[in-house]
Amino acid sequence: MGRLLEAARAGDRESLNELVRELTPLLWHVARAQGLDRESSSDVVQHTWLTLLKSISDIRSPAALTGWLVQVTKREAWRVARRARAEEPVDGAEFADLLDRSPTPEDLATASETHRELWAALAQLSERCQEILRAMAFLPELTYTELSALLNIARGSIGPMRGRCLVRLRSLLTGGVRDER
Amino acid sequence: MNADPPFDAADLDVLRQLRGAWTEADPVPPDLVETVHFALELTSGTEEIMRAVEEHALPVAKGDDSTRTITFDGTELTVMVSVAPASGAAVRVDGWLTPPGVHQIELRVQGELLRTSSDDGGRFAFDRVPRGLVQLVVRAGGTVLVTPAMVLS
Repeated sequence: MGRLLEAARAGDRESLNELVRELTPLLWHVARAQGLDRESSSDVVQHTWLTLLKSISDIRSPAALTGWLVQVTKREAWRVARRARAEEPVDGAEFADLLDRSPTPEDLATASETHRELWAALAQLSERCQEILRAMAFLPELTYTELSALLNIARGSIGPMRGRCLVRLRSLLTGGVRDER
Repeated sequence: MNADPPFDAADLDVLRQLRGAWTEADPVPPDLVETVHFALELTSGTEEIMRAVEEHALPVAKGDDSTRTITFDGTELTVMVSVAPASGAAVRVDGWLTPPGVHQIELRVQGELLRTSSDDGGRFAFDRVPRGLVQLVVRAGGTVLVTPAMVLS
């Protein structure tokens, strides 16, 4: 990714396009995790990439790039959500859809055939754990510093939380259904 | 550089399963990457990026097509765009700038650039626009404003 970033910074659009292909799935899930509907999430992701063109010359490492993109996506998603709430009419009908949360594990435990067991296990974890696991699933190479920025969790807490969430999920998956949430 | 304890094989397996599950449950829209590529293609980074703030679809009298209006906000300029079906595979795009003013307007469609200008009431129109990805560009004095790319259908 470092090579792509360097080329994109020098103005190579094919490298930039490749970065878009690689990182858009993560940004999509970041936007969705802030509670935006699918259409608003697409707008937010597009806005983030367009905004990057202004700042790309200052971004020196792949880690900084991922962190920057995630922060901008979150900030823009909050902005959109806040505006939608402020404009929400009294009956709430028009904007109700906009703030539909992305599907939660609780929704999915009954919905998805293939991954039922996984959703059922995830549903038993805290929201924090679900958020950490979702981020790690899309970018397993994230460092603690990046995860810390991404999730607004103190850097020192990331390691223990990451470990605890994974261990807990794995033990639930290997047959334990004890609820120690 | 990274002192984090590595994932073991079982961790990686669970993360892979999670990624598969989330991808299946909440897939990235199939055209999102293409839309971003289109939007980035002719954007240099010096433009002001407008935001879509409101969208309505109004049914028209005949047929199944409807008129769609979208409002885009910039810091000092708002543009409202109305998209109506035209003959064949084309659509008609009408726009209103607020505050009104005579500016150069471009509509980027795939493979070509349509040009017009707004009148002193801030109105402009493109009669025949092929359906597909488009991006609107407003050249207002020294400022170039671009909307996000959107699909006209």
